[in-house]
Amino acid sequence: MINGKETELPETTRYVSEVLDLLNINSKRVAVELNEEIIAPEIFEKTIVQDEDCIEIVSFVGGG
Amino acid sequence: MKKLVIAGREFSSRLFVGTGKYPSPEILSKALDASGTDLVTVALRRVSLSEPDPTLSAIDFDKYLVVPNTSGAKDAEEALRLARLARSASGLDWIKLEVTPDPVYLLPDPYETQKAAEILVKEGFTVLPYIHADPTLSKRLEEIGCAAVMPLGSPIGSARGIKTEEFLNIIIEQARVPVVVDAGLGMPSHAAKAIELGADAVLANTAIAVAKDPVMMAHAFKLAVQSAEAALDSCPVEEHKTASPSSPLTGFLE
Repeated sequence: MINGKETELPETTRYVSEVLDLLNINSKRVAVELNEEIIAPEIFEKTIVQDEDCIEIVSFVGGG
Repeated sequence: MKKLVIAGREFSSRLFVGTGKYPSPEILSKALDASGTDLVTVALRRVSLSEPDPTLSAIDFDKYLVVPNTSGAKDAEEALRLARLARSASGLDWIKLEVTPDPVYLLPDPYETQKAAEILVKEGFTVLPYIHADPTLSKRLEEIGCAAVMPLGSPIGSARGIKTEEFLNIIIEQARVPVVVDAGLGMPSHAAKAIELGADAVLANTAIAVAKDPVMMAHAFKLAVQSAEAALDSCPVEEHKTASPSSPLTGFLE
């Protein structure tokens, strides 16, 4: 589940950084929550994602 | 006026600007520039997997201090989650704490705000809490370590101006941290009023973004805030109950 949507990713996808790449998301100024835990940007490339994981990817938008 | 310093950081402008609801990223960028601001606010939302949000590219993160808000939070827990995510995304610990459970009036929940503020301060955040103009709450938040307080003028986006003057006055009198009047400003005169009352800064979003010409309005707000600062620096005349003639009392024709 990514941002509330069931998403299929290629079998070879292992790390958070790869998920971002696949979705064409620049990792700058982006925060990631994996199964309700915030993943520090420094370890995007080391954090493994698995089947059935719940990922939230957030960034900044206009606001008051 | 004394310099504006919040959490040890100096600001050259007393006008802070929100980045929501602009007609285009280009206009947003020009309006921020016209406003002369040093501090802008942003919100935190899910990244759209289909259409990238163009707002970010319009904001110069080197030119402005970009402070995320916790808008959308209905309670302390949601605010904490948003604040921690915002810090992870920005690498900065400034946060505008906004807890607004009621979608109609978007008034801040005092209890949830204080609950969240206490924890965020302990976690090392520089907390700017959005509150009603409640002097008691303002003092509590100052005591627990918030870097400033942000009492409202009137409901977010309502453009009704300063409806909380009596209580803003008390907050301004008693506060030992900067007071930023936030929410409900509609016209530059509202911003000027807040500064003339003694607020340290104001934050405007809708007033600028939703004006037909946001760039012109941003400029107008800048002038209004500067005008109020100059007025205070000139030591203005105090109010009197009775008249005081402007023309001489001698040399009248008989």
